[in-house]
Amino acid sequence: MKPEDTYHSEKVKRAAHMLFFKRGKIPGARTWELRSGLGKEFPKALAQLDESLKDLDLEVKKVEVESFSDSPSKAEGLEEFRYFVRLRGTLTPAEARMSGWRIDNLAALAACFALIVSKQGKCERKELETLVGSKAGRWKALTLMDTFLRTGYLDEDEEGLVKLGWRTRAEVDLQSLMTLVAEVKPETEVVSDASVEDQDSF
Amino acid sequence: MDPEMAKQKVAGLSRQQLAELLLLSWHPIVELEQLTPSMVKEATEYWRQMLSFFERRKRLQLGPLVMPGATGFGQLSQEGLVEEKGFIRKLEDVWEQLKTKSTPEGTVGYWAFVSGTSFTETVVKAQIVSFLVSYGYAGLEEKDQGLVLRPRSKPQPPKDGSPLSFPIPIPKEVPLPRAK
Repeated sequence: MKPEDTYHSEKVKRAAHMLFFKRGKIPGARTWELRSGLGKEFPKALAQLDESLKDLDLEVKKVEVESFSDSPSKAEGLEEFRYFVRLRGTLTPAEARMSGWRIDNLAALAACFALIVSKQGKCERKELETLVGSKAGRWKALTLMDTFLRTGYLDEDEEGLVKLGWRTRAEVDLQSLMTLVAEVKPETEVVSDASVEDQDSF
Repeated sequence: MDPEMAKQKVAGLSRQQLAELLLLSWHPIVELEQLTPSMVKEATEYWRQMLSFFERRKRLQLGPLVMPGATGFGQLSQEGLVEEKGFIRKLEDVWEQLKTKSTPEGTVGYWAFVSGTSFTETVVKAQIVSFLVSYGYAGLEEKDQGLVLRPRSKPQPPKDGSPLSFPIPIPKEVPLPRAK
């Protein structure tokens, strides 16, 4: 093995450590963190890591960060991104359930995304709660909204308007979701508070 | 898609459908949790900022809080939440009734015995009688084209198990006992 190959494999390992292990509130690593940890050529290490992860059905995802006032690169006027490792394919309903996701919660999240996207990215919390309530029950809607905000799927601004959170931008292909929602034929379902199991699993 | 259409779509799709659509567009992040000083700080803040039970309850607009009260065994039994008597005790009680009501010939008409004031009562009694017969506390015989129960002073469980099953349908209107 050439010394150059060893050098690159070390960089790929370090890149994997930085992306897999959560160090703060948000997983992944920012551009400036990767640059300081891996050097200027960090995109090459990430590309190599992405290639190695293919066999595991994982990929490196680059997401634009809206604002990071504490970021050195922002101060230098450079583009700021956050890099994550995420599932390349998708989960089956059974796999999602094994990961602690309930059908009700996933349905509520999909409903939130559909409404927020249709309203150009911002929506009143009350309106979302009503919509989620129609799917998951009124009581559960309040808890679910809090959970979605806490986990980063949704974000609430000072005016009380809810928008898509950092996690949604990193994990969800919204264009595909909206196309599917528009194309799928509805199937009527009556839901009441009483019919929804009271269980939290997030 | 405009907001009204989105709402209509969401209303029309079942929870299962919505969940499956999200799963087809969802690529969850892989993350390994670690306990770091910032995580500990975040957790502390979470618990510190959490509203009290009463504050959170206010948000649900549930009205005045009804404090938990005590209930009695009788009430629980009345509501069908607990059995007032153990099953064996019930069997013994019905066995005693059967012995008391038996004629000098030692038999009691089946329908005369199991009939209660309501259909439910009749079904419950018939179920207990079926156990009495199966366990050998009483015999079930055919007499004058009717069924009679013959209580035994001591249970005689069948040695070879129950050789046959004898279903007795219970009509809503229980047949009147035959006049003697």
